[in-house]
Amino acid sequence: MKRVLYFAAAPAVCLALFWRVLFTWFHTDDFDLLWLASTVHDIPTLGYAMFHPIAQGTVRVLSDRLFYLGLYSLFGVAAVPFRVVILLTWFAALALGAALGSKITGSRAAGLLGVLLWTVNKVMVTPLASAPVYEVVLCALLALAALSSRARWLDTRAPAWRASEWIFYILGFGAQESMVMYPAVATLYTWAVARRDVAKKAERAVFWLFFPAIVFVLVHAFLIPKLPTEIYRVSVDSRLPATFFMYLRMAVGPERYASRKVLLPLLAAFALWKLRRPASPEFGAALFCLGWFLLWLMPVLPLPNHITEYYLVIPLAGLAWLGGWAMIAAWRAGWIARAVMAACLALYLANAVPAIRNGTAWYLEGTSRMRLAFRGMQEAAFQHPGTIILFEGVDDDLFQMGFQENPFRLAGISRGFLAPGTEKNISVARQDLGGLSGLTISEQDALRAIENGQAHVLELERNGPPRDITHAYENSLRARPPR
Amino acid sequence: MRRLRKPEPRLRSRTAGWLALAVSAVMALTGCKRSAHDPRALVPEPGGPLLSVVSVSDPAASAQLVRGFYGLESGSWRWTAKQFEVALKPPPGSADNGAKLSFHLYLPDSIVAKFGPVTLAAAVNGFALAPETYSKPGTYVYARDVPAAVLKSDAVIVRFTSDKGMAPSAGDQRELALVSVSIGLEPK
Repeated sequence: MKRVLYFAAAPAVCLALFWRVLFTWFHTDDFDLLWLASTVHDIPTLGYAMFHPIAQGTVRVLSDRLFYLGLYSLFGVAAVPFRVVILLTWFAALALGAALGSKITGSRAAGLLGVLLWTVNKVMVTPLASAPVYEVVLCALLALAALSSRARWLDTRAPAWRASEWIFYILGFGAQESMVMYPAVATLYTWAVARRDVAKKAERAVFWLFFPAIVFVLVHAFLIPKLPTEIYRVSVDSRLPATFFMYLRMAVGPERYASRKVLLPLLAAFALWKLRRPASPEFGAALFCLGWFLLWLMPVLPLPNHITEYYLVIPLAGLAWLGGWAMIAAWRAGWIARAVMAACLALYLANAVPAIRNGTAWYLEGTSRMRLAFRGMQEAAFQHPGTIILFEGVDDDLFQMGFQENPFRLAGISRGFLAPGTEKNISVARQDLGGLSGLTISEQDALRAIENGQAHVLELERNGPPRDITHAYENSLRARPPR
Repeated sequence: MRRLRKPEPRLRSRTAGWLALAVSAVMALTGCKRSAHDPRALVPEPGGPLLSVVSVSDPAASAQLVRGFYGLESGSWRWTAKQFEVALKPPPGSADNGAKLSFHLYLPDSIVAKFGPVTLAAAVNGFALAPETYSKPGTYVYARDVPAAVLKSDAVIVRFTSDKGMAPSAGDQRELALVSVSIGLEPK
């Protein structure tokens, strides 16, 4: 029972804070991936859906393709199963994170506190609320599973654990490209935490892990086509340090009550304290925690135009273990240290909890509107097959929930447009996705299509199903002075 | 470091079994494939042919209230904005004989008290009709003859313009000008 409670604590806290994600529907890239899943009807289309590069040349066989194909085939556009799978994956990652954190820091309590700090962070809002970002959650689980297997192999030398490490490691490439950093992390763990000499024959096997990573990098660099977008331009230049420090600040949460100015220096001071004796196990543990953060962050540092919070999910574990360790060290150091620790924890939570609540509420409200709009589109497609749909009432909030990702085809509509004139209300259209060019229609074309019975007009309400206003809109178009 | 004691194998498998059952139940109940057809997902437009006389309280005629009409109040009337438009079907014979436009309205005390006399103008498919000025609050009928030449099509748009109206405020975000009851084209 104690063991169950120990490993259930972090998932329970996560569920208490992130409960809204269970009711969050689909948005943005979900529609592209769901559409890809919906196109599968034989072996060739299955092969295309599973292995054809999309987006920036990504082929995430497990976290994108199999995830969407499998759940869509069973549940269609019901979002709850997707959320359940994401949460269960995350809970498993937390369990492994707690066990590994205990091993690294030498303290069960530090391991648990570490994963609590890890999950109680604004960084987790998008990965848990947004299925297209499942990659980081799954990659975290597989990386921790591989490293846990390595840890067990180093303790027991049982071949099954070594095989297990390789299996999780290779599977990780199907989750996210960051897995190429695992060999470096495994080497660091073997040397710093397990305190083995990696130059010796018995430990040199760790270097075999680099070969799949090198092959993966070469395949991605030379065989997979890339889209020339500014957002994903790789730049190894003087912006690297600034990008790194931006991520470091984001890792401790929003800057309310000067939290970053307090928490980061204290964490750095604790790390330096543990690093003061290179011969000690504590040196290796602290070095590993910092190394974990830096190594998993390295693949995204050369993307200064695409600083994205959820890239911190895996690296954050390193800082979280260090934070949990610091809390236990403070607890053991006396009342003054305990008071400082409690104040820091209160500061951290005062930032994290409202940010999580606001973030999850934003996703819930936005995707709820998108779901109402989508269901209306489906019904309109059922009632009026083959017609195009014009949308009234689309604002910035609703637009950025997925109008540029073509949810129309998934709903069964041939084309979707913003009602003439309403495009002026939209200021968040992404130019790399084509802007508004594919979503606008002239009044003349709209009126002609409506008069010919080829178009219907839906007014999207904020808190209710869409309303068919085709005739009223037709009358309105006729009433406008000709342009 | 003390290790947590592992639970007995039977307890572990039983716990895992209950957990798997709970997750499967949640997924099955909430994730069953729903039919794409759900009439409740789309509010239909009130149906029916175009009318020559529109009562603002008639749900079937709401599609003809093109612009500038607010929600139905007390089941019988609607506020309008300073500019409002309605689509009407010309009555039989109006393409030869013309028709009479009748707008039943109420001018509230609050508008007159604040702004003084209110002038109402109308245009049928752009053809301007003579305006009328109301100096006192009360019930009125704006009535004008519409020539046949303007009524040749299946539908016409009648645009009304009031020169006075209450601007949106913190208490009411609507621009309020007149109270409408019915609008119509009647045969001469």
